[in-house]
Amino acid sequence: MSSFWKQPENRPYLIFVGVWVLLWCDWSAWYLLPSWFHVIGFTVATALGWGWYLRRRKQNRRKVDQRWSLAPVFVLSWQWLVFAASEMGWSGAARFFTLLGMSILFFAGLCVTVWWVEKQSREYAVAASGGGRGSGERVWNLCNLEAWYLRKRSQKLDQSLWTFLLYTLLFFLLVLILSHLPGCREIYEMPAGGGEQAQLQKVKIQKVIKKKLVINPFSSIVFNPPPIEDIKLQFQELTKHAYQVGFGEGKGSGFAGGTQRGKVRFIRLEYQGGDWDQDFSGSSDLNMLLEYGIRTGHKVAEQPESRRISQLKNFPIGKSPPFLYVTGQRNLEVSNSEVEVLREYLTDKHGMLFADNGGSAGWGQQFFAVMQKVLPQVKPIKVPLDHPIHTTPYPIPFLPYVAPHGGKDAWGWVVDGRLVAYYHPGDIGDAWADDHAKVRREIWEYCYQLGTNVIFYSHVEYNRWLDSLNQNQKADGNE
Amino acid sequence: MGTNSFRRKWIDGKWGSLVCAGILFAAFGVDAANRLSPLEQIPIESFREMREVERYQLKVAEKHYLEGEYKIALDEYEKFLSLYESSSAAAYSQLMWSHCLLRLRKVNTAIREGFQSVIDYWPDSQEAKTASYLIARSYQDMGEVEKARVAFQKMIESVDDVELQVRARNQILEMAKTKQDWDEVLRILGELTFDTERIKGVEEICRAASRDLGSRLLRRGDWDGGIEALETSYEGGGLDEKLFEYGRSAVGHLRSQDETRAAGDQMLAKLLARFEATIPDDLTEEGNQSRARTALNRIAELHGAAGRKTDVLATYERIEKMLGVSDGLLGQIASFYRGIGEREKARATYRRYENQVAAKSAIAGMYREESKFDEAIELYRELIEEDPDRVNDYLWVIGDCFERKGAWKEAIQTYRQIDKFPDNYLRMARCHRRLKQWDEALSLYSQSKSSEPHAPGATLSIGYTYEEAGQRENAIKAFQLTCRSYPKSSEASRAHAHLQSKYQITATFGGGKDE
Repeated sequence: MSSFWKQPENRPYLIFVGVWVLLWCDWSAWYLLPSWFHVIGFTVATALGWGWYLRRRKQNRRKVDQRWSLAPVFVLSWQWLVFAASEMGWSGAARFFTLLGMSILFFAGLCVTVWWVEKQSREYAVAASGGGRGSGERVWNLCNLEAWYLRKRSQKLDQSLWTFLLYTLLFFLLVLILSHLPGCREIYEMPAGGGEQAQLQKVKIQKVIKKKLVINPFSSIVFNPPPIEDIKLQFQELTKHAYQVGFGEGKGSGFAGGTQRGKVRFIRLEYQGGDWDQDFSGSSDLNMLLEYGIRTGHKVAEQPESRRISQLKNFPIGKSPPFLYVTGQRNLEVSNSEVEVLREYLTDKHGMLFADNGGSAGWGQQFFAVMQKVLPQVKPIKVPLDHPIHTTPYPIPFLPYVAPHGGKDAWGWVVDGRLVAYYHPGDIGDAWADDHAKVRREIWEYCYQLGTNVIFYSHVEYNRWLDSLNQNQKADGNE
Repeated sequence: MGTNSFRRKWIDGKWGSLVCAGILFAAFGVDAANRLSPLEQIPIESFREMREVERYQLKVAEKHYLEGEYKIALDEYEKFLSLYESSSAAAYSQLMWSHCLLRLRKVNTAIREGFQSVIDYWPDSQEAKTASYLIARSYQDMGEVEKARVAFQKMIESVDDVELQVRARNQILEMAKTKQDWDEVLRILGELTFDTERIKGVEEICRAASRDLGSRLLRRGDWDGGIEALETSYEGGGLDEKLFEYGRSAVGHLRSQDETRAAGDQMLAKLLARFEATIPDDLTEEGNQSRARTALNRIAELHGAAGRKTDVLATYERIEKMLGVSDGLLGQIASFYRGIGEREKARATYRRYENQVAAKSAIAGMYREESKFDEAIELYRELIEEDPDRVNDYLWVIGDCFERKGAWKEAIQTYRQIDKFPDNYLRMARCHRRLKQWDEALSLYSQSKSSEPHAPGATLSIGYTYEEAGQRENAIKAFQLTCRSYPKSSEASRAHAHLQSKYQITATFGGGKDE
C-alpha cells in the first residue's frame, strides 16, 4: 500500500476512496453531516466514477481492463441508488436495490473468481508440464490441480466445488459487513428545533371597556369629554400562540434532539395473522401525519410507512422511531422472538406503541395478551383524562371514539413513569380518514387532536431520554 | 321535652352515635349505605356536629354522586365548601370533591387540587389520613409504581390508623406481585398475617393474606410454615378444609418437577396422615359417617393429585365397604374413570346407579362428548319416556345432536317441538341457513327480533343470511340497521367492522360523547 501511495498518480484515487468511505460511514452510522452534504457528496462521487470509467474506456482498448474498471463504478452507482431511495423515503425501493446489488455482486464475483482460478490453474499446469512437478511437498493451493484434497478422478469437479464453497463463505462474511449498509439498517431522526411541552392556548379577543367618567356638571373644572360616537372600540390580543410546539431549546418548532434532515414519520406495525393493513391504502394515516405537521409546525414525512416487527431490530438505539401505530380487527399473532424485539423496542430503545382497536373486542383482548407477554411485570392502567397525553398540546375533554369496539376507556402501560403503550378502544384511525367515519365534526377534530397529542408525547419522551443519555455520556466523559 | 333537652339526650348523649348512624341510614337509604365505600363515608363525629342545612347540601351532593352524576356532584361539593367553609364536614366535602375527580378520570387534578388540599387545610383530620392513602393509590392507578410505593411507605410510617396502614400494605403487596418480587411478597404477607392487629375492617384483608401465605409456603414444601399461617385465621374443620385445598395443589405442583418430587411425597404423606386421623372409629354416632366420608374423599383426591390411580380406586372401595354404595360415590368413581380416559368403565359405573334416569343422562352426555350422536339420541329418547317433566331439555339436546351431526332437517323438526322462544327459532334459522333456505331463515330471525335481548343478534344474522344468499344490498341495509338501532351492542361493533372490511362502507355510531 505504501508503494502504491508513493506513486503520485495514485494519490487522487486513494483520497477519493477515503473521502467516499468517510461519507458513507457518516451517512450510515455517524450522522454528523447534514443530508444535503450526502446528496452532493454521493452524486459527485458517482458522476466522477462514471467520468473516470468513460475516460478509461476511451484510453484503454482492452476488454478485460474495461470490465475491471466497471467494478468500482458499479459499487458507486449501487450505493447512490440505495441512498437516493432511502432519502426519498422509499424504503421498499431501498431494500430492493440493496438486494439487487447484492445479487449482482454475488454472481459477478463468482464469475471473476472462476475465471481467475481457471487462469491460475492453467499456469500451474503449464509449469508442471515443464518439469516443475514432484517436489514431494503437500500442495494446498486450490488453483493447483495437484492439491492433496482434490480427488484424482475428479480433480476439476472438486476444484469447482471448493471454489464455489469458499467463495460463498467469503461472500457471506462480506454480506455480514454490508448488512450495515442503509437499506438493511435504518435510522429515525426527529426534526430539529425546540419548543415547550405546554397546552395550546386559545386566542381570546377582549373588548377594552372604557372607564366611565362621571362629570359633575357643577364642577368648577371644565371637562371636554369626546362625544360618545367618537369612542372607538379597541381590541387587544389577550393571549396569542406565542410559543412553539416542541421540546428543548432550538430554532423553529421541533425537538432539541432532532436533526436538520429529521422528520416525524408515521410508521404502522406489520404483524402476522390478521389485518395489520386495515385501511392502510386509504387516507387515514396520511391525513393524521399531515394534520400533525400543520398543527405543530414540525417537518413530517411525505408518506406513511410500515415495518415488520422483526425490522425494528434494524433501528439503532437513539435513532429508532419514538412511536409505532398498530391497528386491526382480526387476529394478532406475535411470535416469541417478536415479543423479544418488541420488548427491546419499548424499553431499551424507548419506543411507544399506539394501538387502535379497528373493529372487535377480540383484537383488543389479543393486544392486551401480547402486552402481557412483552411486559409481564407491568399492569395496564386506565389513562386519566388529565394525563399529559390527553392535555398537551390539546386538552381533550373526553375520549373521542368512532365506535366503542373495546370499551370507552384508553389504556396505557407505564414503565418508569412513561407510557410505553397507549391503547385506544374505538377506531380512532377511522375518524382520520377522508369521510371521518361520518362522525360529528367535533368528534373527528378531537380524534385528530388526540392523535397529535400521542405523537407529540412519544417524541417529547424520546427527546427527554436522548437528553439524559447525552448528559450521562458527558458525565462519564468528565469522570 | 324542649329542643335543647332533646339535643342533649339524643344528639350529644351516649346514644348520639347510634342516632346519627340511624339518620345517615334513613337519609341516604339502604342503597347508598351499600354503595359508598369505607373510604367515601363521612366520620360519624363530623356528621354529628353538622347543621341541618349542611346535611341537606351534603345529601344533595351525595345523591348525585351515588347516581353517577359526578360533574353535578362535583359542583355540589364545591358549593358546600363555598357556603360552609368552617363546617365540620368541610374536609369530607373536599375529599368527596376529589373522589368526583377520580370518577371523572382526572387523577392528576384530584391529587394536586383535591387530596393535597385536604392534607394542607385539615392536617389533623381523619380525612387527611384517608387523603394521603388515596394519593398513593392514585399514583398506583396511574401506573407510577415507584411513586406509589414510596407514598404508601411514607403513609404507613406517618399515619396512626391501623385500617389505612393495612390497606396500604395490601396495595404494596399487589405491586410486589405484579413486579414478581416474591421475597417482598412473602415479607408483606408475613406482616399482614402475623404482625397485624385484626380490627374490624381489616379482618378480611388479613385472612386473605394468611391464606395466600399458607398456600405459597405449602407450594414451597414448608409444611409447618403453611399450617402456622393458616392457623392464624382458621381452626378445626375450617383449617382442614383450607389445608386440603392448598395441600392438594401443592402436592401436584411439587410432584410435577423432579427436584421437588421428594418434597411432594413428604407433603402428601403428612396430609394423608392428618386426614386419616380425622376418620372416626365409631361410625354409628351422628355426624361421624359424614366426617368419615369427607376425610376419605379428601384422601382419594390427594391420591389423584399425586397421580396414584390404584390408591384412588382403593380409597373408593374403602368408602364403599365402610359407608356403603351410593349414587354420589359411583358418580365420583365414574368421574375418576372419565378423567383417566377409561370411558367404558365410567359408563359401566354409571349403569350401577340406583337412579337410572340420572345414569342414562350421564351416559348420553358422554356419548355427546365423544360425538356418538346416534347412541346419545337413542338414550335421550328413552329419557323422554321415563322422565316426561324434562321433555323440553331432552328435545333441546336431541336437536343439538342432530345439528352437530349435520342432520339439519331433523334438527329443525326437533327444535320446532320445543317451547323455548326465541332460542329454538334462532337454532332453526341457523339450520335453514345451512340448507340454503334463506326465506325460512329470514322469517325466523325476524320473528326472533320481538325478543328485545335477542334483537341485535337476530338483525346481524339477517345481514349474514342476505350475504350468504348473495343479496348484497339487503345485507348492507341489515348491517347498517344493526349499527343504527343497537349502537351500544357488541353486534353493532361487529356489523360496523364487517361493513368496513367487506364492503368498505362506513356506518356511523355518532362517535363518543362526554359521558
